[in-house]
Amino acid sequence: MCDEGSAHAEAVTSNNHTQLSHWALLGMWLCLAAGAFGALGWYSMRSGDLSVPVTADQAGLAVHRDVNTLYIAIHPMCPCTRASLYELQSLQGHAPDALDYRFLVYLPESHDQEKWFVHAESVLARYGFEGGAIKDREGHLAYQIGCRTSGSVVLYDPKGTPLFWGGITPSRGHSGPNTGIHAIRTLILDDSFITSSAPVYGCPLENESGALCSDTICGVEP
Amino acid sequence: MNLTHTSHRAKEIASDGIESIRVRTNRLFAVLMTLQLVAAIVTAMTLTPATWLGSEAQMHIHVYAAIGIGLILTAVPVFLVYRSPTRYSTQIAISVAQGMYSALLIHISGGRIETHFHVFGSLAFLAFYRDWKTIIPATVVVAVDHFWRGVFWPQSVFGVLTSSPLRALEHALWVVFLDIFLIYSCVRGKQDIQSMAETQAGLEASAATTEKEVQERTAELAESESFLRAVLDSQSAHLAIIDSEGVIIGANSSWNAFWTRESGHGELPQGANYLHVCEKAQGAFKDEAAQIAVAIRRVLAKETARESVVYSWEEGDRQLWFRAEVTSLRSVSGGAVIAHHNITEQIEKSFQLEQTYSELSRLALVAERTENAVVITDCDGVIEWVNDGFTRLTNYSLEEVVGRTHGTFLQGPATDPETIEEMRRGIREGTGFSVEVIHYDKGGEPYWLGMEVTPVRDSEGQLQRFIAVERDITREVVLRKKLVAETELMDAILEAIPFQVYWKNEELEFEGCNSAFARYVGCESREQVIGADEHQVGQLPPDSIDAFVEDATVMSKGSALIDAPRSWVMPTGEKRDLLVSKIPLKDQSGNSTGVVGLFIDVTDRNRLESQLTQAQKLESIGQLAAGIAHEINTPAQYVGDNTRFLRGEFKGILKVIEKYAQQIDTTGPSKSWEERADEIRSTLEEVDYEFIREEIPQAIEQSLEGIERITSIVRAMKDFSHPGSTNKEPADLNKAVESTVTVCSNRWKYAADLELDLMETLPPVPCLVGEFNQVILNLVVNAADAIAEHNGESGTKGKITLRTFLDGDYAVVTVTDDGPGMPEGVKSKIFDPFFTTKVVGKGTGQGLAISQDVIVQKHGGSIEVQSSPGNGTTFIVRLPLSSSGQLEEAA
Repeated sequence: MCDEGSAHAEAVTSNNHTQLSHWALLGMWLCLAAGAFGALGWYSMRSGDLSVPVTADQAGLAVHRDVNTLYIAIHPMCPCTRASLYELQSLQGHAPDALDYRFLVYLPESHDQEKWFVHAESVLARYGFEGGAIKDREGHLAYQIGCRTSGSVVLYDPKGTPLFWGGITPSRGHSGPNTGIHAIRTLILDDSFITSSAPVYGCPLENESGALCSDTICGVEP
Repeated sequence: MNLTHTSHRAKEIASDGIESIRVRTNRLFAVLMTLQLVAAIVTAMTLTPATWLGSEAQMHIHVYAAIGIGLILTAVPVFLVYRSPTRYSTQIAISVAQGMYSALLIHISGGRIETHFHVFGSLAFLAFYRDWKTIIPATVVVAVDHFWRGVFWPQSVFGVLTSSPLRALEHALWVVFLDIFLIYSCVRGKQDIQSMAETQAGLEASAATTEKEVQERTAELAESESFLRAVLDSQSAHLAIIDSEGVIIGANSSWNAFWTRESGHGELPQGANYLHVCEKAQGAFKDEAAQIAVAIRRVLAKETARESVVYSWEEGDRQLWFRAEVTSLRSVSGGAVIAHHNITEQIEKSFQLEQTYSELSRLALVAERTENAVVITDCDGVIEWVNDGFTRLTNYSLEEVVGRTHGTFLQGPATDPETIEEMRRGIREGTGFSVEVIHYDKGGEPYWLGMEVTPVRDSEGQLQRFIAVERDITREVVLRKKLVAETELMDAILEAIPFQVYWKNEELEFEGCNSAFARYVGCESREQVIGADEHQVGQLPPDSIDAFVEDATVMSKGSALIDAPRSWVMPTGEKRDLLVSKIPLKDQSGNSTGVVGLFIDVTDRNRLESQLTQAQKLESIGQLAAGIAHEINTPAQYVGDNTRFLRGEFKGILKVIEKYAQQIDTTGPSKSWEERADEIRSTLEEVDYEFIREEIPQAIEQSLEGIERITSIVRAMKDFSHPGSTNKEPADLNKAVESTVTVCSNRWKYAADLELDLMETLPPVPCLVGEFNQVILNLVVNAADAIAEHNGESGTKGKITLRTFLDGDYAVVTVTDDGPGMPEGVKSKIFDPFFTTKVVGKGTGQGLAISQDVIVQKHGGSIEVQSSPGNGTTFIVRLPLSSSGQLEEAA
């Protein structure tokens, strides 16, 4: 009996140890998974570079004389852009004629620019935007209005004064409620002002010189 | 089995059920995790395959996240499922991982609202565990994720709308809403498991009780069946039990062994239909099987409670007997027991008893009814019993002889003392005896008795009594003596007759012969011949052995061979002529059992006959001599006259020739032509030249004719009188006929005209031509004599016609006359020797007898006569175209 009791006790002890080690393994695993999610979140929520835009005249861009004009810099191949287009599609649904949408399509010389442009037009058409695409070779136009990340927008009033600039997605590649799109909707629908800029999440627009931004042209938004 | 135990068992079952669900669901999630990993990677690579730095593309962070975080979330749960599928912590880890997978998929899908359904799906899947606590970790993870996103999202720091955390809260509330139903479902499910476990535990308890009872009853039944089986198997009878349809539901080992051995088809399996097997049986057992089938049907139909069929069965050389008893089972469902009892021993004993009884009955009947006397005595020969035959034989009754011995009243002075001593010795030594002895009946009359006395012993060989069978053999003894005497007489006759006689058995071995035959075959005694055949006996040359050739034919055909001429060479080398006769021996059924041969040595007779024939021929020639001489004399006379005429006239011719010679002689006186002519003319007139010139050629011609005539007669004489060959040779019968009629022309030409109608194409016929000539001569002379006698001195000539022609395989010669013919009484005797109708001195009566002998015996032909008074006579002689002997059918 003594031996059996001892063996039973040993078995219980061994089982407890096994359970402890089991739960400890689970804890470590949980921490690892949480860390991975944290890293993913950090990356998704890391905003791109943003500069204060110049006026339309300074940038040499035309604006609509009756309604506000929204310039959107897009990288044709950036998957994050679709989240921005989704937000714009939603915005257009709410205020179909409130804005004149103009898309600066980033076309690097190292790639087939026509192919990229045609792809960009098809993507835009898929979201209901046809005819607003502008070829932006090497991203010069976007750069001039301070847009250095795909998905960056600049809203000009009919006089060419920038009203809002920045991103319109809550995170990289994610659509959803965010400050940028809310600020634009408030401006055009309620004619009230919330903020002039919002962080932008998307693929960087890189020019040939490798500089993402020229302080002399774009300025920097802290 | 009590309630506590049942409750405990219910918990065990429930625990086992939950654990089984856990394990099963764990495995399901292991598969699901793997599929989710693949789905996450595919989704990331589809939606966000790359991120761009201007013109340069890089793999998107979502792809890294899908692979990295997906592996983290999948590997550990799958590992735990593999290693610890029953641990509770494993399902908690799965719950956490599943919540995180929802977060990951929502993230890489760009927060698509549709992806949030993954959360609800995951919670529903987790409800498979039937454990509400498992749903909580996933719910917490989802809530934390949303909360974290809503509260700690950097965007909120930079002005995220307040609606975002609320929406996260809304999402969490929907999740809680779902959780409530899932938790309720889990709690109910667990209760159902518990309830089912209790039910199953109760059923198990009930089943255990029932099983125990079944086992107890089964054991009792098996014991009972084993007992019944032992009882059935202990029976020597072949037992089979059938149901109401005849289907076999049981059989004992004897029956199975019987069926296997006799059918050769192995055991008739249970379930086979006994009734059908019997009804469809074929072969030698068919009828018996049908009887058994009828008996079974009657019992199954409850027409009778028991039926019995006795049948037999051949097993090797032994016949086995069985009695098949069909007995009703008397049960409600019907059925019957069929028992085959081996009653061979009983039947055999019964047969033996029956045979013994029958034999005893027959023996008793024989003893009573037999004509023989039967006497039973004790060991000392004292009579105990006699039958009626004894009384008939001796005139002594049973009562008169019981207690007496044979010697005291049956033997007499003529009884042989040695025989009496032999009888006593047989009794004394207990061996019995068999004797022929003279006994005396009650009236004192002696008789011959045949006694057969046999000892009767018991099973241990102890002498019990004697049985004597006695028979009156007086007649047999007399016949035996008579037979001996007759045999001796026959033997003496055989020895006395001048013929050689033998007889053979079926194997053609000599069974007997006379001494004359023994000498002929070169043996000194008859005993040397008996048992041998012609090849073994003596040293017979092939010519002699030929005399036995017909033995087999005569015996097989049953026909006799009479007087066939054969040659024989004596052991001394002397050649003899035999007439051989063979007569088949036949039993009472007419079957040939042997052959008797008779040799008649006709060497001397043949010689005498030959001499007689020649003598008769010479006699004929003698008788013909005067006529022949006359035939020759006539032409000789006119040849002589003509010769003399020529001799006389030749002188005148010489005178004329000389006159002519003088006229041409120049030395004489000269004369004128006229004078010369006158002298010649005068000379011609003187010699009558005209007469000479006409007569001389005629005289010469007539002389030549006469010489030709003489020559032909002489040639015919020569042909006729030629003795000829002793063997038959092909001869021209037409020429023989012509010669004969020529020779005897003086005998017929004054009485008749003779006409020859001979077939020109008649082929040569094998014959003894000299003897054939004699036959034709006899027939022609007889015909001429008959015509002459009939016509007398009237001067009227008759007519004799000889014809030759072919008739099948025979050459036929007919001699026809138009004489007076013969009455039937004469016609039947004409071939008898010494019979003649001619006057004394003119005929000897031998001519036709010899002619018949020549034609029939020597040529194998035939001679017959067609005649009736007033219509002339025709003799028809047939000679075979081929030479052969003859067989005559025995009478």
